Amino acid sequence: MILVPILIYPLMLLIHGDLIATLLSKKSTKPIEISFIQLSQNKTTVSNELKELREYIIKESEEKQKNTANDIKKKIQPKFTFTEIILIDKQPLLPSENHIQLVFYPDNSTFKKGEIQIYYNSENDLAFVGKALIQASVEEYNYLLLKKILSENNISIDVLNPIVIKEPQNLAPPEHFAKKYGGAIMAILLVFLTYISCQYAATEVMPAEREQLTLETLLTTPLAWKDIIIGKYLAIVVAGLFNALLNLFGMVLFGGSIISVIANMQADKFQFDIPYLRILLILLSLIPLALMCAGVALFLISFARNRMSASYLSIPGMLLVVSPSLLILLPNVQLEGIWLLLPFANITLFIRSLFVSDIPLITTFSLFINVTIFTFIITFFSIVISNQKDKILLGGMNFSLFHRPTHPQPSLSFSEGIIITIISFIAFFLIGQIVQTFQTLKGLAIPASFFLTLFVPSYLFMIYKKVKIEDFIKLHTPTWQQIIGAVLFVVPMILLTFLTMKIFTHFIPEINTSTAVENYITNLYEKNYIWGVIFIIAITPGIFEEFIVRGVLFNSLRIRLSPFIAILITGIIFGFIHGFLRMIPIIPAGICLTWLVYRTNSLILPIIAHALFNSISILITIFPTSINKYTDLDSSQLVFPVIITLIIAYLSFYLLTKFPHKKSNEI
Amino acid sequence: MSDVLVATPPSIKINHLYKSFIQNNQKVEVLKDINLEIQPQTIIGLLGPNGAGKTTALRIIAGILDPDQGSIEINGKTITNGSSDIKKEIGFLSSGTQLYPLFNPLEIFSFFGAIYGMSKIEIKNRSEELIEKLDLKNLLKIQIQAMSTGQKQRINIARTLLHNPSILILDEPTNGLDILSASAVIDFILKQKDEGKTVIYSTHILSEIELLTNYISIIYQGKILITSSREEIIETTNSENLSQAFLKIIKSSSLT
Repeated sequence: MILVPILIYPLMLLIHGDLIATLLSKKSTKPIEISFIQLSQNKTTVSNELKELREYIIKESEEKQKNTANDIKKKIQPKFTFTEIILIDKQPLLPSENHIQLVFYPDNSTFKKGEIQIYYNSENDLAFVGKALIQASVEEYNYLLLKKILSENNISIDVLNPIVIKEPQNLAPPEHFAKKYGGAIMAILLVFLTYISCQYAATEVMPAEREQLTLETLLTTPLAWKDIIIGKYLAIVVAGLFNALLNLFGMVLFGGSIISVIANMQADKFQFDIPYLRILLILLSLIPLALMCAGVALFLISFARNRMSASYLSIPGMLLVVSPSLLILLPNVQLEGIWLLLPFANITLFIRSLFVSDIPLITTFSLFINVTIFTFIITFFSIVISNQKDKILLGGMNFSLFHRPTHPQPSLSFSEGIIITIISFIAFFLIGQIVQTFQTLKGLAIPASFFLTLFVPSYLFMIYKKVKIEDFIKLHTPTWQQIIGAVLFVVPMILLTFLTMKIFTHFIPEINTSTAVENYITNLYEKNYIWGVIFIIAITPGIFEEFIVRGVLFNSLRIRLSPFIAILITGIIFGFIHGFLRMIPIIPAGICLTWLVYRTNSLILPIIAHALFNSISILITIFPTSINKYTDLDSSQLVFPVIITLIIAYLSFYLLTKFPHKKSNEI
Repeated sequence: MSDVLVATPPSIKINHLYKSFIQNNQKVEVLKDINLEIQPQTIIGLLGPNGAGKTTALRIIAGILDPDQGSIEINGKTITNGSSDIKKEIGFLSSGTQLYPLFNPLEIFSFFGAIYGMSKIEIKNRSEELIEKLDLKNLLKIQIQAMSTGQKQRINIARTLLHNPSILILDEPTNGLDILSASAVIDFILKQKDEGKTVIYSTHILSEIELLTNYISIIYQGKILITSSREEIIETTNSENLSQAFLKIIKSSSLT
């Protein structure tokens, strides 16, 4: 039974290939007609130049037809037919897409003989070829004319090009190119295909076992959980190794000829001359490769509940494996710094060096040690992480980022919340204008205006609706771990804002988003104490903006809308109230703060984070540091802060979600 | 009654068992202080409504899950993490223990026999014995995925008994079976008791329990409400039959 597809497949390929060839030849059967037209009112004779040019073009096309040796190319090469020269006074329309019109406008000045306009229709692909043929021929004909004129005046042709540039010569042996890029292609293919086979084996091994309910049967036996995991891991390794061996076999057989085609050489002349010892080394290197790929696959798949969610994880897995190995193979990328720490970058280079042997032995050796260490680390971690019996038995790990917490029913309805927010915002913008016009009012006027516009309307409305404002603000009292989490939460928020600002100013560099605010803050600082400034600019807006945006607006929006959309809209509106120009950098921060409310059901945490965020940006404005010159930083300097921020973000996420107030878990 | 009062050491002893899971970031207490002693060569019926914690309790006894607190002694030995010897004493069957769909019964026997450390001859003898007892002769060459539910369950029972365990833990083994196959299964379990095996039988169907055993334990909301003989349960609750008594006990516990 297995033999049937093996026999049928080549046959199908043959038929398929022939089909394509006939299709190609069918398309090119219609010849392209090139018509020569002389457009003139006075002259009744055909100009000599056009006659000569016509003959020249016909000769060129015949020569081209002869020179194309390749069979397939001949099929693609269009056939041309040429009309006699027509003399008319008005240019006719192009009859169809199979036609090209060469229209000649004669001229009588001393050197200029005339102008040529080509009309063609690109709906027919072959018309391009015809157009190019005419253009090339005209240029050569021009050159011929020039030569003639120069020889008539006894001037050498060299006057045109006093210095002649010859075709540059590449002294590298032709194998060099093939080896350099061929080895890279082999290495990347080997890594990629091995990972894919491991991924599919892992999918069939763990999630399938869970899906068909045989995992529990296995656990009733005397086998320990650790034994099962290691057994599964080894099964994945065997699958990866088997696939890698097959691929390597195919590469050794056909790889050389494929690469030599890439290198534009004759297929038979070039071969990968790999000594037997190195073939043995390549075979040995497949073992760490399979171990690593199996480790990553097992680690990822232990997050999957069933085969379907396992297939969703295949794309991130492939990216995780292939992107470092692809990047390291780019020309001029050295294995330094962060690349040295990426396992798949190491093994790809190692395999390439085995294929090509253009890397010194000592480098190969150090790569080998690196690869071995990484293999052990990945294997160990993947087994340790997968070794969580309770979680896997219950059906996969729990991504608490996407977890939907139950939230207390807010006391205002959808429309009430939106109307009260709009009223507050209108009042806020009006008073903001008044405060800005009366310069002397600055100081306590700002907190007062925030209080009056953003808090009082909602408060009055809540009294009218008999809603307890304390319950509305608190929702749930946060735990002290969550408060620490909220403080740490500011760090990723600052980085996000900083990055968006950087991108924003990169695209729209003319707009300086913060000079007005900066001037205002420094003016205020000269009149008041620093704590006063922080109170006025940071803490009061923090409290009242959070109250209206996160408290009233978001809690009303999420009655009707899905949490994701509600968070997005709230974030955008939050950016909007900070002014139109400052909007875009603020939106990510707004989304972060809204997520904080959504996830923890507490308004106190975003108030803390918001006030802290504002205070830090004020301190940066008053005491300029190197951070202030953010536009000068280049991306390589960002790597370390980003890594630190990611760690802090994880810590904050852990503190915020793992220590919730008891009430927030009650349904 | 006579089974209960025999003064031999218990074959299963459960002390203060607690277990909780985290589901959707919420701690769900599934078992709250379970205590139970089961004498050798008895069948105990574990009764309880859906979600009472039966399956979790049985999984912990079978060593699939680890308890948060408490201990389990089986034939005098305490189960610890990865104690493989004790697991050889236990045969566990539930709706969660299915068989590999691409294997046929003979392959199943040789696979699980090898895991239990049996020699090839042992596996052959034992499976022949089981094939005869459970009437599996016609099914030996069929893949599990091509079988009906009843046929699958028979193979599964054979798998449970393959290593000749002294304790059988059966979690709703008649689930999804018709009356004919269900009664065949119950008859087979009664025979196992005669062969000297201890059986824990969990179900929510009262009539099955009445057929099988006189010794009943009622579990509800993670707690064992009563462990006693059938007559005693009916007497103490002043009811006419077991189902009435069961309802009364559960109602009284949810009131308090």
